[in-house]
Amino acid sequence: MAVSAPPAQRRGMTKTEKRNQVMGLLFISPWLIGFLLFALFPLAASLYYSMTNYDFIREPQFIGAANYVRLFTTDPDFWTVMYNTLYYVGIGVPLGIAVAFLIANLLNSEIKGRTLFRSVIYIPSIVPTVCAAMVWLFILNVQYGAINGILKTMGLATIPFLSSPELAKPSLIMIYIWAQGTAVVIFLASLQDVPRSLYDAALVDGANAWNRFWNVTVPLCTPVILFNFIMGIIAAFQDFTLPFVLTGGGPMKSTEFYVVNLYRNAFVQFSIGKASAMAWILFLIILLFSVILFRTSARWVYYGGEK
Amino acid sequence: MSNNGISRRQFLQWGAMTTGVVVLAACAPSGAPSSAPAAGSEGAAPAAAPTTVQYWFAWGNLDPAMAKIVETEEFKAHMGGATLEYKASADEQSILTAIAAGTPPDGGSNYSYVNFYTRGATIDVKDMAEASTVLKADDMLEGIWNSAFYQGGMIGVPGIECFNWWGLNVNANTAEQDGLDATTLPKTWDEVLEWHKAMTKKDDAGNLLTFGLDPYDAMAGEPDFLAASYGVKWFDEETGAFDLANPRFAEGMDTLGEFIRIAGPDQFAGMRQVEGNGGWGAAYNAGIQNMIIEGYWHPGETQIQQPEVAQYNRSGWAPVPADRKDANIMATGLHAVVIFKDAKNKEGAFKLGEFFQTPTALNTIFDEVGWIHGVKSWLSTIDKNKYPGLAFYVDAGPEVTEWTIGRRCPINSFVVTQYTELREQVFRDLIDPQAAADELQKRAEAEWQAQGLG
Repeated sequence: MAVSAPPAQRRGMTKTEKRNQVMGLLFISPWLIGFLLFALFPLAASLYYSMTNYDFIREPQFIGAANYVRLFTTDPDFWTVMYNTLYYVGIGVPLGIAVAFLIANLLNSEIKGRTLFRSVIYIPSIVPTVCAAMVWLFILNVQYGAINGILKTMGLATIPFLSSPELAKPSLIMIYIWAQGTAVVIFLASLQDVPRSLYDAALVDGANAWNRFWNVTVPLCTPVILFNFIMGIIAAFQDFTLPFVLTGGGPMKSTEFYVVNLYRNAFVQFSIGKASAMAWILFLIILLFSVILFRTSARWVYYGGEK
Repeated sequence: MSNNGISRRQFLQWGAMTTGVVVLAACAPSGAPSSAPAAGSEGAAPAAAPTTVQYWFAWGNLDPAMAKIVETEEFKAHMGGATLEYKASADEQSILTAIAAGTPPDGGSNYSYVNFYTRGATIDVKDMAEASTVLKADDMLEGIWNSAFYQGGMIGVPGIECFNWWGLNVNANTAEQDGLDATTLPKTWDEVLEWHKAMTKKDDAGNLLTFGLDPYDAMAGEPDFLAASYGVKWFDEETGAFDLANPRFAEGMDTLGEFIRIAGPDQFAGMRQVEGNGGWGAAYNAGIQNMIIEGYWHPGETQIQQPEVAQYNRSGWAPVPADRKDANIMATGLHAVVIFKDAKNKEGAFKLGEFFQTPTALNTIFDEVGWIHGVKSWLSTIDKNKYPGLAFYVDAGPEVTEWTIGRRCPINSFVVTQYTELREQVFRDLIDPQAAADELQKRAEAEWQAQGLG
């Protein structure tokens, strides 16, 4: 005979539970206040400002979606900076992941001086970006750069790595790839988690080095590849320091990336409303890329040997 | 068994509550100033005037002069005992943030004056200026005095460094080495171009070694200069109308672009990156660039930074097209102590502006930084040959035929940004000069409307 469960009785919190709840809230109140004041409020405020004509000085005037419409239709820079940024992210991030993964595999093998190599590869990640930018400036500059200095002494024409509109973006991508030390470290940790038994089984099955890499290493590292991909996309979309210091967005706005232009709108041209709208568009773009990656991850990311 | 002690739980509860109260108290607005009388108290003395003046300066150059000025008895007496809280290198982002937060300093200098004033961030000081016994309009160069006004209001107290902005500075030593007669400097663009060609040197592989003039460097980089050189008024501050599509403006972009085509656009871009993307004068100081269009400060600053180059500096009129060869163009513009709307000590900030008119301040700034403020009675006392090339700027005034007051457009920064991109397209031959000028006009008008200024 089936016995139905008695309906759950709703009851209020006891005095002790209420007191505990209050105490719990009090304990987390420093974080809660900080979150409300320094995260949620600015977020909400920027959403409001994005729908206003605001210059930091005068009272904001509500103009609805006009900033968004203007950005997509008449703004002279929006599509240029969008193209520049998508170029940088679209080429830089996958290349960066691939290079970092390959380097991690090399560093995971039994080679002499492995610890030294690991340190050397990681150093770019802890060097302040401004310092790194200045070093690269004096490596790549067309007049005074080290590479072009060598070319000059050989009587060859110099290469305008950073001062030609065609070469500036690829040069910045090269520098981006150079600074993949953090991704390398994460990949290294992931590689050391791949069970030795799987390689042994593959060897017994006659798999060569490439087959072992492609069919064992890569699949088992896909969760970390996904992680690095998402983190890389989020960071690359917001890259500011490198182009700002190195090229100032030039030549001819060829390295004017999205966040550099956002900054220029906010603090040089006093268009806080428009800059806020740009920030929200960027948020939606990053969200879109992240969702696409997560949605497609079921097809290529393996967790514990299963898709 | 009863427990009269404090349990661990109670201790933590009270501890958390106390911490919460302390945090809230710390976040609360600060109380009334101690000088304010208690509410309801009878016969309380009126609140004392603020005893500090907060003054922010956008750059770092003024520091050595300010350090000396504040120590003088004259300054202390003029300020009535108020202490100056001076903050240097407080850039535009810092001041914008302070304005938005409602906590700006009392006064500030070397910011986007018209931008701030037209948006109401700084106050009209006309009444204070009229009441001042120190500030004398008739003792200030007319252009400088006029630059302090915008649509009838007075933006700030002119001071610190207000003098002549445009001159062609030439390294006479390299000019002579290149077979040029440095006793007569070129005046028209055609003549300057010939000098540029003579001074531009490349190695066998075509790499740039030295060059003549970067026509977009320093003071020549803004649309004010190109427009004035070609006799165009690109922005009418009374009507808010733009004239950037003027064919002469387009002609100017083409002519100036030729200088860069000769040396190579990529080479120029590389040079600017080494200088810091917007820094001025480093290539001239290094002897790579041999001509530069700069203001009166160039002789003094070069002397301080690179005396071995400064000794060869010669200055003359900024270039104009051949059909305007008799035009002697010159610009001046405002640097001033502006007073912020939410300042606590507006009078104190004004007094500081007044003090910058005194010989003590003028001499100290001239000696320590090389800067000049156009106070007539003081100008006649300075040694105009102190820095090579300075005499041109000091003597130029009466011979100027066309004055420009610079940076008057409230969207000047936007126009400069767009102009920089479009002129680069011109000298890279990616766009017709007139099409670039038309596009610049279109963008400026659209931005003007979008910012609610139309």
